[in-house]
Amino acid sequence: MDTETDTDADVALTRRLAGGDRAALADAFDRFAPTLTRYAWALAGSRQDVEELVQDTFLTLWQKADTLQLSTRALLPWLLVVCRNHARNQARAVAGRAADELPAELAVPEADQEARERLRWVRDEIDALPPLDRRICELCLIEGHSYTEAAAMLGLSVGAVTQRVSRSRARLKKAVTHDEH
Amino acid sequence: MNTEPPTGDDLQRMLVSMKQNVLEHAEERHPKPRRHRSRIVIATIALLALGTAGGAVALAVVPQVQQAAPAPSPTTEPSVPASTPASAPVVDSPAPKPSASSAAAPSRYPTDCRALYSDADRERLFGKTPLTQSPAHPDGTTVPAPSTMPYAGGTWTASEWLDCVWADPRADVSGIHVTIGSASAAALSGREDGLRAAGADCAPGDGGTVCSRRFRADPSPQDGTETSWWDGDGHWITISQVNAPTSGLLSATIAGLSSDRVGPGSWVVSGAGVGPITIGSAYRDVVAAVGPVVPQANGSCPNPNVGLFDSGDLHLVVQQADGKVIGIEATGLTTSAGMGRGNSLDQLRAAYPDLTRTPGYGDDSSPSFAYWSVRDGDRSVTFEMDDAGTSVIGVWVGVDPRPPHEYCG
Repeated sequence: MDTETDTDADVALTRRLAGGDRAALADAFDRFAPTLTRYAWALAGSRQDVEELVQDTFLTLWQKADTLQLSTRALLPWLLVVCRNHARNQARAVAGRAADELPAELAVPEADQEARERLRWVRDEIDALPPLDRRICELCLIEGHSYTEAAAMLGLSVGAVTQRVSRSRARLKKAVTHDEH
Repeated sequence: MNTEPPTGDDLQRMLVSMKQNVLEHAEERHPKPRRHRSRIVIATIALLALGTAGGAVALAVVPQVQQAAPAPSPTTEPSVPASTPASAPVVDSPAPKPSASSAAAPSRYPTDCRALYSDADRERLFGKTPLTQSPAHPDGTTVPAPSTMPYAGGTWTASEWLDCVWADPRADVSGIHVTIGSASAAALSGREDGLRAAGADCAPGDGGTVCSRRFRADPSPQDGTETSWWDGDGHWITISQVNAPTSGLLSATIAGLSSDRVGPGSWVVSGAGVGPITIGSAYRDVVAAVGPVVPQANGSCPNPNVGLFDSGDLHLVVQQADGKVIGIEATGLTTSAGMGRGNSLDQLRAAYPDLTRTPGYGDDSSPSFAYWSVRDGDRSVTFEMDDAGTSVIGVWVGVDPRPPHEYCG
C-alpha cells in the first residue's frame, strides 16, 4: 500500500468534507466504512449496534469536518477513535437502560489485551498506516487515550510533527489553488 | 460480537444500507454561515407635541448583534458523485449596564416596544398614548443590516433593531421616540463627535456615555430633548421627546435591554467568557442557562467534555473539565471591539495594536490557521484564522489561550 498516496488522498478528502461536499462523504464512506464496520463488529453487541456506530462515526465526520484538524495526514486513526468513543457512549446508554449504572466491566479501563483483541479485524489496515499513525492508534485504541492526548504525547501539537500538519495544509492549499491533484 | 464480521454480499448489503442512512442524515448538516459584524445604531428621535413641559428623557442601550452573511463559497476539487444513493437630560437612578458576562441568558433581542418596560413603567411613561412600532414583527433573531441613517450631527451607519414612537396622532409634534440598536466603537465615537458638534453635552453615565441636546421640533415651535446613550459593548439607545415627561425612561429602557429580552446575539466575547458563560462556572449551570436560548446540538460528537450549542446564527463550543467551564469557542459573536468571524488580520491589528501570535499546532511561520491573541483582564481572547490566515473564523477564550486541536476526537 502506498501510504503516502493514501494520506494525500485523506488530506484532499478532508478538505472536500470541510467544504461541505456531500460527494466527499460518500467517498469517505466507500473508503473507510468496511474497516470501521469490522472494528465496530468487535465493539458492539449486535448488528444493529454496529450499524449505529458506523453511521454515527461518519455523521460525526460530516458534522465536524469544517473544524477538524488532524494531527497527521491520515484520517483512519481519527475515525477509529471516534468510533471507539461512540461505542463507549453506546455501552453507557445500554448499561443505563439496563441497570441505571455502569456495569462493572465498564467502570474500569479496558485491559490492553482486550483492547488489542478488539482490533483483530482491522489489524491489516492499521499496520498499513505510517508509523506515527500506528502509534496514535495504539495510544488511543489500546491504551485508551483520546486523539488529542495521543497527539500531545507524540509531540504532535508542538514539535516537528506540527510542521507536518502545516506543510500538509500548505500543500493542500497549493494543490487546490493550482489544481495539482 | 464474537462472531466473524460479515464479508462478501452480506457486507455489501450492510454497507449500502448504512451509506444510505448516512447520506440521508448528513443533509441535516448546515455549513456554518460566515458572519460579519453588524452594528446596531439607534436612530434619532423625533418627538412631537402634546403637552406640557418637557420631561427628562431617558435612553437605553442596544445590544450588538451579528448578522449572517452568505457563507463563503467553499474551495472544492473535482468531486465524484456518490455512488449510493432627550428635552431635559436623563436624570434618574443609574440603571445597571448590560453586561455580557453577567447578564442572564436572554432569549432574544427586543422585538416588542411594550415588552421593554414593566406594566407600571409603561403606564407611567406612556399612559394611553398610541404606539407605532417598526418593524412591526421582527423575528427577534436576525439583526437588520447596518444602514446609513441621519442624526443631529450628520449621518452614521448602524443596525436598528427597534423603533418605538408613542404619539397621539391628533398631536403635531408631541411624543416620545425610542430607538434601539448597536454599532461599532468607531461609529459610536464618530457619532459622539457629531453630537458634540451639534451642541450636545456628553458625559459618562448609566454605565456608558450619555449625550443630551435640545432641539426645536419642526414644524411646531416646540422644544424637544434628545438623549443618546451607548456603552462599551456597542449598545445604544436614542430617546427624543417633545412635551412628554420621560423621567426614568432611559434607565427603564436599559433595564429592559439587560433583561431576558436581549438575545444571545448581543453576547460579547471577553476575557471573562462569552455572554453569560464565564470561565470557571459550573458546566451544568451553563447547559441549563444557555440551552433554552441556544439549543444544545452535540449531535454525534462523542466527547462528553464538550457542549455544542447552535442557534443557526451563532455557534458555541463549551469545553469543560471536572464540571467547570475551561474554554469557549464562539462563532457569530464578537469582542467589545466588534472583532469576530469575517474580520481581517489588518482589522484585528487596527482594533488591537498589542495583538500577539499564539503558538498553534502548525508551523508558526505560516499564517495558515494562525492564532492571534489579545489580553483582556486575566486571560487572552484568541482569534482563530482561516487556512489563508487572512480572515477570522472563530473567537476563543479559555484557561489556555490556544484553542483545542479539535473537540470531538
